[in-house]
Amino acid sequence: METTRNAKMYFGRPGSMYGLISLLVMLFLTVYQVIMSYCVLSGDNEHFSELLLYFAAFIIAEWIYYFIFAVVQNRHISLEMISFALSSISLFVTASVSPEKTGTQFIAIFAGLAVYIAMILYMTNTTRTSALRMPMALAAIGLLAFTLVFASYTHGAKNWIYIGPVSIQPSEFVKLAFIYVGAATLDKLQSSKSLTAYVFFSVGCVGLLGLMSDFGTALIYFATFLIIAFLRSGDIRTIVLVCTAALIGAILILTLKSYILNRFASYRHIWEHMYDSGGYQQTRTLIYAASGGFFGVGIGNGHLRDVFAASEDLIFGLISEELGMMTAFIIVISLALLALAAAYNAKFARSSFFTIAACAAAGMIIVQTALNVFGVTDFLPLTGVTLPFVSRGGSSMICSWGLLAFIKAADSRTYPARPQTRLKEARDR
Amino acid sequence: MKTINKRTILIIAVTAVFLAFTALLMFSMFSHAEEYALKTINAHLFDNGILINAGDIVDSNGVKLAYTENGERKYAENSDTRAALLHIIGDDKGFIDGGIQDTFREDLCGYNIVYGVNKTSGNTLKLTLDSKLCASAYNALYPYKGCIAVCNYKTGELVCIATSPSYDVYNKPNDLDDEEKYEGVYINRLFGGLYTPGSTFKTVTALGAIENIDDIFNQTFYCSGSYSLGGGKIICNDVHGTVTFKQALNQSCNVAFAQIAVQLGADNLNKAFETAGLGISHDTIDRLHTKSGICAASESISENELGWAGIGQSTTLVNPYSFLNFMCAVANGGTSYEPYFVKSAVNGSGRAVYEAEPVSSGVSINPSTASTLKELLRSNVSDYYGDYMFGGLTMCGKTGTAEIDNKQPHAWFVGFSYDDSFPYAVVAVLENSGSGLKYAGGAAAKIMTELYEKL
Repeated sequence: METTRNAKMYFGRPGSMYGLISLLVMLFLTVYQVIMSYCVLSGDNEHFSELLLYFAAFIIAEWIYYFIFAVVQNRHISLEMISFALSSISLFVTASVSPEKTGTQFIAIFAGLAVYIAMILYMTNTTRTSALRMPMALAAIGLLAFTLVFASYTHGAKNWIYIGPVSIQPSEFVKLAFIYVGAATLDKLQSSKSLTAYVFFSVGCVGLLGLMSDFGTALIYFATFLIIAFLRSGDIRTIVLVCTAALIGAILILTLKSYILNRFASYRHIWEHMYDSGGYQQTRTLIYAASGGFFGVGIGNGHLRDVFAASEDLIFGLISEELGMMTAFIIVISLALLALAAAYNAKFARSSFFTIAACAAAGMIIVQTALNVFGVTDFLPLTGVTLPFVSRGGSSMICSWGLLAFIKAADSRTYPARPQTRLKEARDR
Repeated sequence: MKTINKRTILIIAVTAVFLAFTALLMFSMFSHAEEYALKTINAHLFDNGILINAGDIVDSNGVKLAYTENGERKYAENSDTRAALLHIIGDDKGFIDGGIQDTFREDLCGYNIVYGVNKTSGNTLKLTLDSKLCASAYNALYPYKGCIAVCNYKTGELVCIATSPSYDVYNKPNDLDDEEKYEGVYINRLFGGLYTPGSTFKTVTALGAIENIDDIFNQTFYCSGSYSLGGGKIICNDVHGTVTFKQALNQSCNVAFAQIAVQLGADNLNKAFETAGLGISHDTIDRLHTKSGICAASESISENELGWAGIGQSTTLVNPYSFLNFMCAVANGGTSYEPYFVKSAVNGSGRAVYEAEPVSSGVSINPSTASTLKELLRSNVSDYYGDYMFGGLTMCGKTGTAEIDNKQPHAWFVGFSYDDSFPYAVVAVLENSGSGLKYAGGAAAKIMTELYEKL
């Protein structure tokens, strides 16, 4: 009974086209995904039935989600639609480049969705949000320390843990804890003690990542720390001070361990390093991205896929080449849209926890996207980080959905069960 | 709560900066896309640096000189054509310097930012050259090294180029780097060659004389077979007796021209060299750069050396392309268009994406001087070499037999058709062959008459 009423409201809300538009977007997305499925499966595909199953299951799951949350529960699901679109591209690229890993990627996407739903449910109760702060902080540091001790070096960084057939990147999960801890201390806003504690926690995380030689991730954490610190203190001077301190620290480290600098020596000189590791990936990315033109050479017809980490770090180039520069840039702009949605949501969030968490998550997405896209195109030094939602990889995918949960939780419409409170809160502002 | 909400502006600012950089990246990608896509490591277009995906190259009659078939680069059917034009077309492995498969790579591949490398057919490059004539010229050079080129002096269009030594791209010899007969095989001698000009240089000395020595046509010179000059001797090819300026040029009298060079002085001889456009490096329309010539005449030159310089010996060196261009200017009333051979690049739908725009070669000779010189060069053929040599053509020209230490001399012929309804100029150099008239004159005559019969 209530479902029908909600559905009527969703599609027939006076003066609102939202229901209709979201249905059209869903249909458009489905058509796109069906075409992509066809393109990946066409030709002599030995994994045909397996892949078809994953693609069909993905599209069906998407519609189930739409039906439950949009139609039945009468909610806005624009952010999820973007995430579904981006995730599906990662699924198609994985299926095309390394079909044997499609199952893993499929599971990762839905594990991410599960984490997303669980986090949204957990954050329903605003008073509960800061409860796990201390255990989370300890777990985060513990996990990073564990990684540092037990991980082996993989392609220059010590950030992978192998448990049987499963390989995970703990620093991805710790990102969520890092934001949670940073945002949760917030309710004691002006307390310098809690801020100091958070600074120590952050230095610990960034330091451990630095020791793992995972400088890209360390930089993402540091940028996120700056955003949280600014939102908490609102003090530009503090930020400048922190940045200066960090810069001095970085210079000190680089002077002491100058070999680190060698990793970035090819920056802005990639064409002189076309045949060595310094510029191999970046030059191929640019060459093949350009080869794709606006519309791409078609999935499966590219050459960048033969380069190491093509569907992870170089995904921007691979998509430019095979699906076209238009698609590649639309993906980048979509990620920026998630950040803008976060900024909008954060303004009207239920409490400062949600404001901080949404902004931190948005900042993390933007910084990571920037390091990935600008890194492979030589605008920034190449640090080897993933593109949120799009790169192949389970840990990264789950983390991306977790970040989305922070953004979504800040949207006051996410928790419609308490309309009175919401109105009251809005009035309080 | 309120203050913290205001601080969310930070995220908007960060995102704005991010989007600005994204726009910059788009701009950078769009403006460099062609450059990136055409890198030789792009496996869409190249296979181990070998161009596999490019359009056709056709001659002036539509004969295919290069094309792609089943992902493989193919060349002209005729093996002589392939060898004659090796340096013009270039190979697909990057051995040949300055081939149009390299210099016109962008126009040939037809990269387009919208379609990427999808338009695999590429563009068709149309040349002004006649491949049959080129093959004949290549055979006319045999067995000597050297080059032949024929150019329309009214338009600058080259119709024939052949360079030797060369090889067939389909059967690249293994001993290219060791055999003496392949010395300098990777170089296009028309553009990159520098030779002692020998008596062809008397055209330059004559140019200087006409401009600077008022009574040059009233002077006579006595040739006894040799002439003592500045403590040395100028040796002549014959005993010419008393000759006028015109007769001296006809008979290529060294004694007379050595005296004329001394009369002119190093400075004026140098000026004539520059006026003829022989001292500069031409940046051609076809994106090639010629070697700049060297004139022996300098301030510190001895009288004897100046005498030798006036007859094209000493340390003077000239480039065949530049000399051809000089002849075009003389034939064309004092100025010429830069010679070129790539006419256009046409895409699949027939639209020209590149079209050669004739530009002045920069050579500017006084029209009356040019006309006087033209008559003198006409007289060389009509009064001395004999018109029978060129079949029915009314040719102007000058031969050269450039003496080289311990080797057979280089044979030269430079000239052009007097009749401007057949406006072609020619240069022929046959290294270490022998007499200029016999070898180079013969080869030039063969090609010019063949061209005449075609038209």
